[in-house]
Amino acid sequence: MTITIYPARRIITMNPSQPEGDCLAVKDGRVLSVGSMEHASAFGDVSVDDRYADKVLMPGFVEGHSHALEGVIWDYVYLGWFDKQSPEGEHWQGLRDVASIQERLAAGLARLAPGAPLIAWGFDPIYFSGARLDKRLLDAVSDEVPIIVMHASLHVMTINSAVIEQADIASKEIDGIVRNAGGECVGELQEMPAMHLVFDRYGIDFFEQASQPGALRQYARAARREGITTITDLLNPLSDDAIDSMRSTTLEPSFPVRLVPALNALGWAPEEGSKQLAKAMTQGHDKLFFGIVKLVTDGAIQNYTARLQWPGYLDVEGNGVWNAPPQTFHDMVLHYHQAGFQLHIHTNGDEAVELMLDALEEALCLWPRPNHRHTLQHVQLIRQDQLYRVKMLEACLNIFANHIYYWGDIHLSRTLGFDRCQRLEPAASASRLGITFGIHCDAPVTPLSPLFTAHCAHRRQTASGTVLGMAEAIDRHVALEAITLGAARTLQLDKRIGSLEPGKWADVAILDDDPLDERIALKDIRVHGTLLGGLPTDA
Amino acid sequence: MRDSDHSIGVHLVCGFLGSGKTTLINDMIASGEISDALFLINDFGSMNIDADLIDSREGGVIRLTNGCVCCGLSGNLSSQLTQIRRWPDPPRRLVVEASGVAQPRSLMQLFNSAPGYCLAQVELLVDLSLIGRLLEDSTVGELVRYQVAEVPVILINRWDVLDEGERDASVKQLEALNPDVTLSWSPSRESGMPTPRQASLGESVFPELGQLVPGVLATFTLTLPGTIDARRLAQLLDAAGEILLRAKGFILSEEAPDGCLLIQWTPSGSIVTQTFRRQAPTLVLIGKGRDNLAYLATLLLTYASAPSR
Repeated sequence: MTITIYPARRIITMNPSQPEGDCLAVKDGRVLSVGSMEHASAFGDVSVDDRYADKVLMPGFVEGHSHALEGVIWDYVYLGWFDKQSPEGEHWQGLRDVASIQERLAAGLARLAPGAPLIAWGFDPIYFSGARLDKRLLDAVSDEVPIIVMHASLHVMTINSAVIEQADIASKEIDGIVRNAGGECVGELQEMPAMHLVFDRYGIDFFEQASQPGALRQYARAARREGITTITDLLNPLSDDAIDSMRSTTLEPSFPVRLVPALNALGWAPEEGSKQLAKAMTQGHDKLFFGIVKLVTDGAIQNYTARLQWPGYLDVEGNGVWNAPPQTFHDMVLHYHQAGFQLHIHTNGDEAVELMLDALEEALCLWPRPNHRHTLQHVQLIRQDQLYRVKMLEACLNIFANHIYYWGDIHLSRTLGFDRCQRLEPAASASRLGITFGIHCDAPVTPLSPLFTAHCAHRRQTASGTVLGMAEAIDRHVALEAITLGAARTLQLDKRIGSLEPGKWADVAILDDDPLDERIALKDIRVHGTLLGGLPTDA
Repeated sequence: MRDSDHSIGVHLVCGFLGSGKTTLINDMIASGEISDALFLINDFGSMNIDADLIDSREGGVIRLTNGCVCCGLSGNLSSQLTQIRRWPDPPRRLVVEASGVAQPRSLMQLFNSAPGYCLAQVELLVDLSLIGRLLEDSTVGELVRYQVAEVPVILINRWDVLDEGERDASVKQLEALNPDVTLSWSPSRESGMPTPRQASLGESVFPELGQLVPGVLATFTLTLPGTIDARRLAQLLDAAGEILLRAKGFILSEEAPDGCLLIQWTPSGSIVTQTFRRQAPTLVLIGKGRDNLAYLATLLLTYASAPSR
């Protein structure tokens, strides 16, 4: 096979012994050289493809924590506060008042297939203090066509009168059905027992759809657009059907990313889960990697469901929730560690971090295992002593940097207060301690865009422009490493991806601008395209 | 869709981890008194159903000879409930083992309202010997207090290991949290609680260990030449409980053709975990007296080595 050479304006490699280059030489899908054309030619006949001659090349981005649900939700109407881009590149403006929400729903209604309910998503009530979305406001759009607005937390929905009637909501006695003083349903349903009435009536199951080929292709397109070449689906049911669907879809030559799904541990008894994962691993290939177990311990800070240590939340009493008894998490960590798998553990609050560090420490004492790479996910409030334990246990982190922008203002004024916001997402401390870490977006919770995530970790600016704790800011190079090699290490894929060095797969993000140029904000760097295994993904 | 007369009657079994839910459900299945029921089990791996009662076992679903079915509670109960009632031949009854952190009130409301279902029975299981500590626990105490406060019936387990004073104190705690509750007492299991460890041994003769004199703390590492019978291994380790503190290691076993079994033994119980990595088969014994451990190792090799085929 011939050698293809892509000359570039600049190549940033993440390889410490050869940090930069100007020609990317590819053979058999792998990086052969990043040196000069002359050096690459020494390997044999070359063909030069100079379409990226004015571009900057980097290792393809690795999104270490996001969900294929991102590929489902764009079938529905977006009502979020922030601007967002669909997988097709369509720009959706954030909605800041009720009138705009009604307007967008009305537009969705006009396109709706007859007989179908109008489903919308992304509405985040925490930004609408004072105003409450209710059936009255939805009925103004239509009181005949059922309208269902899922809130960003996925724990609450608002519905119109048509849904209340069709799903027979008013007659039911459930705490989560919100009523006014006169006992009338206002159109808000909280938590599963209440929302089940709607899911059941209209046959809605977002998570089931996320493993379908259409959703996976949509998800991959959205990732490619942002320069991502390896993406996770960090909470997959890993049913037989899901495994089959992921295998056949990722094998399509046009599927533009590598996919790393993680088994949802709480969906399985540990022994069964291990067997299922072992079975899935036989179905992996160069674009599909199994072997990760995901454990979701607590909730989210902005929903007041993360488990916090003292002093707890700023403006509400009480603590968050556990998704299973702490002992169950403990036992699962022991089980999956001993079974030889890698754990990725969702821990938003510092109490959840503490609990899981105890479990990891016990597992590692009982059964030492070098290079386990168990990874704590989110770790938004991880304390310095906990960070030090992470280092001593040789665990990895994946830090939720996007929270600084999307909820930083809320954390400062309502959930956490000043001091903890100075530390929020402590990437610099993790870096100073030499801990292996990535940074992530948790799409669809926040938008896919590793460069934006890097920007958040670098600038630490909230949506209103407030800067939170510059002592935890990381410089550009460290931030870029976190969205490439750092994330690849947390997925145990750094042998193949994460940097551009001879022998690794030629997965490349092609950029219009130079991300090391201090004059351009990282979030404003434009992504031109990607190469996967040395081939342009837009071909 | 079924009308309310034909809705699926739900028996909801709540309780924190270790409260005895699995035992209760195992007993319900073993009694064979329920037919045409679906058991939705939170901790599916701990189900210990007599082989005689099992008709088939496939893809995480166990079909029983009496027509009942057991399967795991998935991460998405809402979608599971929607599917079950649309089965061509839905069960008449549903027994749900709730997760240890589930709020009974919320689940009771769910089954009272969900189309196709009606709540027939609900109870919260409480291990009386543990409840005092659980209620005060800093990470889960609040949750357990809510669980106690929300149910109409509490089924009390493991009260027989407490003396009368302790029993009264714990009951008062429960009644203070839920004055209207009906307390129901499970039958005493006494000391002869059956455990898998007392299972019969098969044809091979169990060696007589004799009187072992405890010595100084020592560690002994045993390299295992071939496959080992995990059940016999555990039995021998149990018999050496006087001098043995800890045993752990990997064994090759016919039960784990693609990996090994991880054995972790302590005087209070042992855990056997199937692993999917091939490891060198080694067992580490920690106990009192090196000679005792060496002696135990010899017995292990003769008694627990599986015959080669």
